[in-house]
Formats: sequence, C-alpha cells, structure tokens
Amino acid sequence: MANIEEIKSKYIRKETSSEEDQILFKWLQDHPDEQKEFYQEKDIWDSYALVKNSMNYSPEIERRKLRKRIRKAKQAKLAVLPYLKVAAIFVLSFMFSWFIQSQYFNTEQLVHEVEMREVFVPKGQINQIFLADGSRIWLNSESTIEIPSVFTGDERLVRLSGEAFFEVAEDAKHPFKVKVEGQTIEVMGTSFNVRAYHNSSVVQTTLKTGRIELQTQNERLTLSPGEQTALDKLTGDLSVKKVNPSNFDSWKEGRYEFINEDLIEVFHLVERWYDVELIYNKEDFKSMNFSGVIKRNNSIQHFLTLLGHTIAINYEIDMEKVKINKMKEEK
Amino acid sequence: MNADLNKYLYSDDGHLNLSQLFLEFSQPLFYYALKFVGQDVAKDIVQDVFFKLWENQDLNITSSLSGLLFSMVRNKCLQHLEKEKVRSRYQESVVSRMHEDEILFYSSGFSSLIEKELQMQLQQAIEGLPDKCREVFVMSRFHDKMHKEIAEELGISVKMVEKHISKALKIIRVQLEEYLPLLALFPSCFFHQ
Repeated sequence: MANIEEIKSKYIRKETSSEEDQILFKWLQDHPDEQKEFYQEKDIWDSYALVKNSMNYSPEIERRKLRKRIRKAKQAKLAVLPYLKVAAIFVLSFMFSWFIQSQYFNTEQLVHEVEMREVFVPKGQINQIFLADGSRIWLNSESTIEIPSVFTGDERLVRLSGEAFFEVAEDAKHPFKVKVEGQTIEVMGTSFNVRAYHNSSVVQTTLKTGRIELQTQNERLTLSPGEQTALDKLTGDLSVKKVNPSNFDSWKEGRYEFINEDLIEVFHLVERWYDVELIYNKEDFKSMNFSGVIKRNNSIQHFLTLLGHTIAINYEIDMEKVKINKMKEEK
Repeated sequence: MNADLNKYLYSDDGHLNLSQLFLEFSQPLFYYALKFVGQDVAKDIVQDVFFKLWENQDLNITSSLSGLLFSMVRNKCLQHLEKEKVRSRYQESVVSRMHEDEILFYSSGFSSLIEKELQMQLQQAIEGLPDKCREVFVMSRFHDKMHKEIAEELGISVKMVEKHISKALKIIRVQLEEYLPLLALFPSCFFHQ
C-alpha cells in the first residue's frame, strides 16, 4: 500500500487516483487531529496559485461579464420592454396574415395552415399581448398561452396554463374561447381573470365586465360581473361567490391583493413572482389564510415581514431558497 | 477596517461600489473557490456572488465585508458539490466529500492564507526555504513538471523530490503558523463593525 504521506502530497497536487482518494478519505476520517495540518499544507499549495496568478484570471474581463449580466437583468426588470417587443411582433404578424387572407384567399383554404404559437412568461415577470382582433391579454409569471397564428373559422380559441387577465374585443360572430385544464370559458365581449396553475388544485375564474359562459365536464354556467367561480380539479365541483374583481387582476399593475387567501396558494404565487423556492412544512401552514398586499417590486423579505405579523415564523434566506419555519406557540 | 469598508461599500449616491469591490476581491475569491471546485465553476461562483450583491444592495452588513464575500463563496461551493454528488457516481463523490469537509474546516474559524491576505508572507516564506527545497517546490508548482522530470534535471531520485516538497510545505506551515493560529483562536476580532 502506498505511503500516506505520499498520497497526501499527491492529493494536494491533484494527482491522486480514485483508489488513493478513497484511502486518503478514510485516513482523514480516522485521524481528525491531523486534518488541520493537512488542510494548511494544501492551503499553502493552493494559495501560491494566487501569488503567481497561475490560471491567468483577469478581473477586468470578468468584471465586463458581470456588467453585461447586470445590464440584462435591469432590462428584464423593466417589464415594459419585452412586452413592447412581443406586442409589436404579434400585432404585425396578425395584421399581415389578416391582410393577406382577406386580399387573396378564401378563409377555408387556409385552415390547415394555421399554426399554434406559444408565449411563455418565466417566473418573476409579467407580460402583455395584443391580438389583431383588438383583444388584450396580460400574462402572469410562469404562464403559457397558445394562440393560433391566425383566427379562422367561427371562433377564437386560445389555450392557457397559469394566470391571465383577458380584455376581449367584442365580435358576436366569432366567440372568444379560453381553454384551461378542466374548463372552457366562452366569451362575447368582456374582461375577466383566470388562474389555472398546474400545481394548484383549483381553477379560479373572476368576471369583471360583460358576460362569460363556463363549460366544465359536468356543468354549464353563465357568470355575471363580480362573480367568481372555483373549480376543484379533482372532484369537478364548481362553486360561485361574489367578489370585488379588482382584487383579482391587480397583479397586472404589479400588486397582489389577498383577502383570506389560502396560505399555501399564496406561497405558490410568491415563489412565481419573486422567482424563489420556499421551503416549509406543509402541515404547519395547512388551512391557514393570508390577507394583505404584496408588490412585485418589493423584496421577498417584505412579504416575510408581513407574514410575520400574523404568524410567528422565522426564516432564512439563502440565495434563491427561503426556509420558513413556524415557531412553536408559547404561553 | 471600517474606513476601508466604506471605501468599497458605498459610492457617493449610497450604492454599493461594486466595480471597485470586484477589482479588489474577485481574484482572491476565484482562487479561494478553486480550492474546492474546478476553474469554470469557480469563475461562475465569483460572478454569482457579485450579482447577488447587486441584487441585494440594501444588504445589512454587520460583520466584515470580506468575511461575507468569502463565506458566500464557500456556500456556493457547497451548493455546487451537493449537486455534483447527486449527479456523479460514488467514486467521484469521495473527492466531493473531502472538499465539503475542507469547506467546513474553513467555516469553523480557520482561515485560508488567501482570505487573510497573507500572500506576501507566503512569498517570503518560500524565498526563505533551503535552496534545493525551494527549487523543487517552485518547479513542481509552477512549471507543472512531473516529478520524474524534476528528478532527472536535478540528478536526484523521485523519492527525494517528494521529500523536498513535503519538507517545503511543513517549513512554510510552521512559519506561517505565527499568523494563522492567532486568527483561529480569536475569530471574533474579525467581525467587528
């Protein structure tokens, strides 16, 4: 067997074989009092690399990289920019295809050429889309919408996963339809909000103005303004209640207003908005409610402080991970 | 220390002076990370640390700024090793385990020469080595020479080359001990301000 001193010195120089690594690992475990000397000798070897800059590390080049990254992040913060770009592309492409269509082709001939386009908004962002028919769609973080490149036939159909607010242009001849997991919403001319995230058990639809018709597997329901439905994806149950619709579309303006919202649901929203991962024990926060306002340009800390006012918690923030612990109740 | 801190920390408008900070600290932080991870990962980690600083400009720094930077690097390295362990097979993960233990060593109050800016002293200690010893050490460390080559060039055995290097490391360690153990005994004195 090789001499341990030799292996140590080889390891410091990064020349060990994997068997030698194993031997050294075991030796270090068995000789904890020798660890300090070993690490210090390795440190001498490692630190001398800095003295000589043996890797030719250039702070100037690296700083430029950092600048670039910060510049990009700043642009992403201005949600306006990407939305303008997307908007321009959509308006142009839709107008162009409508123009071509109306000038030269019969609609029916084009049907098979319709492509579905997908727009995805990542965590931490909000986006807005204009359609050529005059409709507007706001997309919340981590949401995907599928839109045909051209609206053909007698309906305007889009597919959504996530949360979106729709302002649909009136066109009685071509009803607007939104398909989400478990339900289809039929629209005349109206504005409404849909929240249908895949990791939530409920699809929530809130009607602001106009009239919409909801079709689930078991039911068909017409909503009037101020009404909100909650579809339980598991049981298929549909419940209706009266709400203030503005509370449910304020996210477009970068604000979430919660009134007795299920806390776990709020956690999901916060994760999407601030692009963080919350680590918590589900049992601790089950069937608790949260009321309050959070803003997108506040930090996650702000939310945690807010939460701390109602529930005794402590938290640790480590990069993109946030650990939330409920503190034991004391008397 | 406090005056220094302000120089780096804040520009006139009260924002973190990241540029200055980066030029000053990125290189030591890179070589520090290199102790535990590969070159590309080390570069990314330094980037991530400073990006994080930019994102959290209102960060409340209670301990020393350099202490914070080095511990951020350590945490990032740990996170990386953690991922690596999941990805790789058992054999490679032994090295990851050893690197983790090494990081924990530095988290427990011991400091690297890099962290304590002892490069000058290190340089001096190397210069003060016995001639043969220094020659072998520098050849091996910086000219990237295999021990066989060094042995041939100097007309000594490979075993002697090894011995010289071990000896060099021991001598330097004992010499620098006068700086390091003190730091390990009173880690609290670096967290003032």
